[in-house]
Amino acid sequence: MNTPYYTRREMLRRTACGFGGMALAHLVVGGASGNTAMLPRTTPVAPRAKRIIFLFMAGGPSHVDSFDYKPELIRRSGQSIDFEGVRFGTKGKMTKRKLMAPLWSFHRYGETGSAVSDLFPCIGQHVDDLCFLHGMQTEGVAHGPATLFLHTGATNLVRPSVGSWLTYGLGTENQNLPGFVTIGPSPVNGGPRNYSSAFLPAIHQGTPIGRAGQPLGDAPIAHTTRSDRSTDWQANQLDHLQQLNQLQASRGHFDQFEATIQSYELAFRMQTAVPTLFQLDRETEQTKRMYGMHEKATAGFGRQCLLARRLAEAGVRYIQVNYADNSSNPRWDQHSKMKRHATHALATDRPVAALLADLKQRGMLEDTLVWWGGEFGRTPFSQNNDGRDHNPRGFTVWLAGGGVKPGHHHGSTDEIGHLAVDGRVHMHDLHATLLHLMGIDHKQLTFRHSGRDFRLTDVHGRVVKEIL
Amino acid sequence: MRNAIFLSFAWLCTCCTTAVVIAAGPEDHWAFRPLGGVSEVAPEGDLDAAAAIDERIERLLRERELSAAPLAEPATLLRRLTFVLTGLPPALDQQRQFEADPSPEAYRALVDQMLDSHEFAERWGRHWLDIARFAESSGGGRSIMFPEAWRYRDYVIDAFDRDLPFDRFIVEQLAGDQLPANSPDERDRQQIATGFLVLGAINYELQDKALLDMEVADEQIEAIGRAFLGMSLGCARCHDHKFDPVTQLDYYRLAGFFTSTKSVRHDNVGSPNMVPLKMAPEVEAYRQHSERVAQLREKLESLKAEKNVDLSKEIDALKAEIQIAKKSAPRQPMAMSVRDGDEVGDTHVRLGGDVDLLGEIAPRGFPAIANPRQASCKIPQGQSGRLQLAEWIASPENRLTTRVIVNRVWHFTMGKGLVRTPDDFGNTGLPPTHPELLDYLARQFTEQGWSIKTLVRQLVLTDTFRRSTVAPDQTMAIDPENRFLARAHLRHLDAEALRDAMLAVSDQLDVTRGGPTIRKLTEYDYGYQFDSKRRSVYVPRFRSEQLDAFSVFDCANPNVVTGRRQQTILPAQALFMLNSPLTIESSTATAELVLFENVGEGPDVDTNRIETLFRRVLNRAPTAEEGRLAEAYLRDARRAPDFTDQSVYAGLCQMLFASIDFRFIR
Repeated sequence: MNTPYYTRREMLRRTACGFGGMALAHLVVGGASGNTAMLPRTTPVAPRAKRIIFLFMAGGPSHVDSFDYKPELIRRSGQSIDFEGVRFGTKGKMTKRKLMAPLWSFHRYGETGSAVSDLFPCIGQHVDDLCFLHGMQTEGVAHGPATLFLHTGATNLVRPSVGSWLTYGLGTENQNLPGFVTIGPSPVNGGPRNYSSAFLPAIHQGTPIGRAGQPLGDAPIAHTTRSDRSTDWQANQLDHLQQLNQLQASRGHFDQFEATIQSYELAFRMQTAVPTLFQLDRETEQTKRMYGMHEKATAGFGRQCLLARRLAEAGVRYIQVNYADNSSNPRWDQHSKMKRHATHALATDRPVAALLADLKQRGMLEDTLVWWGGEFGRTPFSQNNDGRDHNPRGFTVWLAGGGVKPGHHHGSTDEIGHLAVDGRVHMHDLHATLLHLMGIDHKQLTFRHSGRDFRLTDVHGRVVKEIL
Repeated sequence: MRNAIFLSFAWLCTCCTTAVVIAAGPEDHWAFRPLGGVSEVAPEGDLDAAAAIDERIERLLRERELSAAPLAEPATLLRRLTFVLTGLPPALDQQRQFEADPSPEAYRALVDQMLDSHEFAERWGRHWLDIARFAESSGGGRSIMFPEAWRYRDYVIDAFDRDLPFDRFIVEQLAGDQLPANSPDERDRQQIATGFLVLGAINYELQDKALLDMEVADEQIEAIGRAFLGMSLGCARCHDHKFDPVTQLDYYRLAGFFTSTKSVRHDNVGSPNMVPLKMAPEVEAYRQHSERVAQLREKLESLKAEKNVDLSKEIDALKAEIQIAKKSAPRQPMAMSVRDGDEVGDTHVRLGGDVDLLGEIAPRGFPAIANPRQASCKIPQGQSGRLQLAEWIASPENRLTTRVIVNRVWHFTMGKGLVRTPDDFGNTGLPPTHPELLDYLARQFTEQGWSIKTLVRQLVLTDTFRRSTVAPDQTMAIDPENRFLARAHLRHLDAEALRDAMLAVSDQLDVTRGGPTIRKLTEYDYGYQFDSKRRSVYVPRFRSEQLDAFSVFDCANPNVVTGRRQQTILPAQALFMLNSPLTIESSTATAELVLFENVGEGPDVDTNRIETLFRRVLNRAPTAEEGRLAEAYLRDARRAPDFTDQSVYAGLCQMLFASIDFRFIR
């Protein structure tokens, strides 16, 4: 095999170290009949999950107002306590802050009796399927760094996104569709870097569908439709184009020519497959209602979640659903007026619950890992009287399906919900665990770049065995 | 095959730490050794210089018993030359002329003409902008716009236009602010050049400002190492480099130059350092405006001083006028630039790369790898030492610098470098295929005054450059990767050339030169709407938003130094050729031109139109088979119920844009 970009020698050099190198060996031109980069691969350890759906709650939803029930915070509400500052100007300084009780009351749900606030009554119905990580910690105090860290494991350096690492390691199950898709991504707080393949081969780049702040349209993947010509017209043109390409390819046999011809075939197949996938109207009335598509508040995120399920069914490996917008102060970012959390909870609660129910009734929850969470949580003390500041040192995310313990709570924050004290899970650990559930050892998934082997988890990461 | 990926790592992973032999000292690795050979008298003219290069290539071909490919057909050669030198397709009359007279003299005349053209500077300036990781926004969390970054872009294009000696080019970019200037113009230009240091991808939102400063220094060290020395120096931030002899101490010796440099303005969201310009054309407008506002203010003060109630109306009017004037204020012309910091001095080693864990003091100095004579760094009291660092990098003694740049020029001219990893001359890179030739070129380069144009001219005059991409079967079989250069490398038409060519072919290209091109300045780059028909080098480059043609066709990632782009063939590119507005509009516009040029009806007219179309798009006449295929397409397309001449020719034109011979350079 001839490769235009990596010579065989160079490939051997790069493959000197580890698993990542061998993944590269599958990367020939990309798009060729030998576009093996995206072929599905089996793993040495049986994977528990075949795909991931990540429900990204941009801005940092408050854990103490949602899934981390802290009676002590309610009891001590209004008390002033010294907290150490972490931001520019306040770093390392102690300042007095006033504790603020959650704005919503909590109720116990399911057989596990897990406490969930009134923000999420629908998700509450599913607690017996959820696995909560209450001792989350991450890097970055501001949205930009923390959002990048969540997606790439680095606050400033340019690194591949989780989804890129996964398709690089595992390929994808449907060759007519991208392996990594992000629905309604935000252009801010890292923007495309959050779904970029960075130094990994370009084929592992996430494909954006629509963008935050705009309703999901009908032709959301770039250049997959042509409105001014019929399919027959295009088919005829393609037919002649391919004949022309054959003639030109016969003058000098290069693998790149064959790859180009193949890429047009694949493109046309994608062009045919994609619109069908987006015809959400084909779903039953009952399904659409379940996702809340009939109501204004839930229609937007409902469509995104339903599309995520369809993409999961179609074999996409990593699907991110963004509850985000296009401002630098993202949706869940309530530095004041915490009560606005209710708007965001209303928009997402029902669609998320519907997705869980839908996956379950189709038997897909077993091998689909659902991950819900933001880039950090919020402080137990108030800011601007009625808001909360960012809290990267203790917050909650939850997982469901895909081989994690159902109805389980792992780790905890201190009694007021400020710092993770028990069962701490760093974002690097979560990344390691996600890869593990997909059948990959995070220490083995490497790529040689800039003189060294890179990993999603850098030199960190511990698989959280307690939740498997 | 599918399982190979997993089965193999059982044994591979064990060699993670031992697979690569770590060079112990500077002399153990080819790139750190002194240039081989001896100083030779430079060949008389460029033709002799080209022959001397060919001789070195052919010697190795003979040794390997490889037969060289014949020289390429005139049309193929012209297309290749024009794209390589100008990034544009040859004009129709150039094609006809060169096909009529493809003599060496005619070729040489074309080469000279193209090297003198401004298009050359735009094309080759773009290559440097890849290496300089140029972008007009910061990327990171809040991707702040760099409204003045275009000045650096224009500086680079101008440098290639004037063939600024490359050693000077290095010093200006790293320490232009420290150089004496003969005129305010020159001072501005040199100040703009240091934009190189602050163009990097930085997350200015980082809250820990000590960390931010170190991240900036780190980005600068990595960019300089990659761009000029072909070395990853950033690797040694936390510990000694694993594969190359760069120690953590070396790293912090370098870091001292940059922690002594003012590169960032701190704030909640920080920004790159800016310096006001003295001679930019906008200065006058800005000065006049400032003067006017000052006069108005003076008048206001004097009126106020009179404390006369009757004047209140006049005062209010004046206040309003000042307000309006302020709103319409022209921007003060500034450059992204650096200066020496308020505090200069050596910095500490940071243990494990943690900014807060201070180790020993690391005296500012050059890394040992490229400093065999242990040249000491004499830094004048109170200065950052950046000038000394720049001069050391730009010294002819610095074997890495000269090898790296001649290899870059070879890469951009020939399609692949003699060292196939142009940004990595370390142990993780590849060794040169022709070490003796590389060193010969490096020597000649410094002796010829570090002139890029001279080197490019000599390279395109070689037979090596002019050969066909197809060699005899046996040669192709023995050397499929074309390491020994028996033939020309097949190249992808890159993103900029592809877009510019489509716009040029369809007569839509706006050839305006230079200047600010961000249409609507906003705080961040998100959601920027691109609508430019100018050459790609002038289309704004952002880190969070890219023109789709650029991202789809492997343009350089502006976050890292890129001397060699990825070359992928992906379905996304095929979709772009089939459905993007750029291809559709360019095809329609080209069809109109072709119909306008060949009026009439009937088979002859179609034949003429097809020929014109092929010449415009593929820069050659169609073969007989291609002609028949084109006619067959026209026949089929005319069966559609609502066809027009324009629609069928637009369809055909799009086919040509999408075809192999447009997307590749043979």
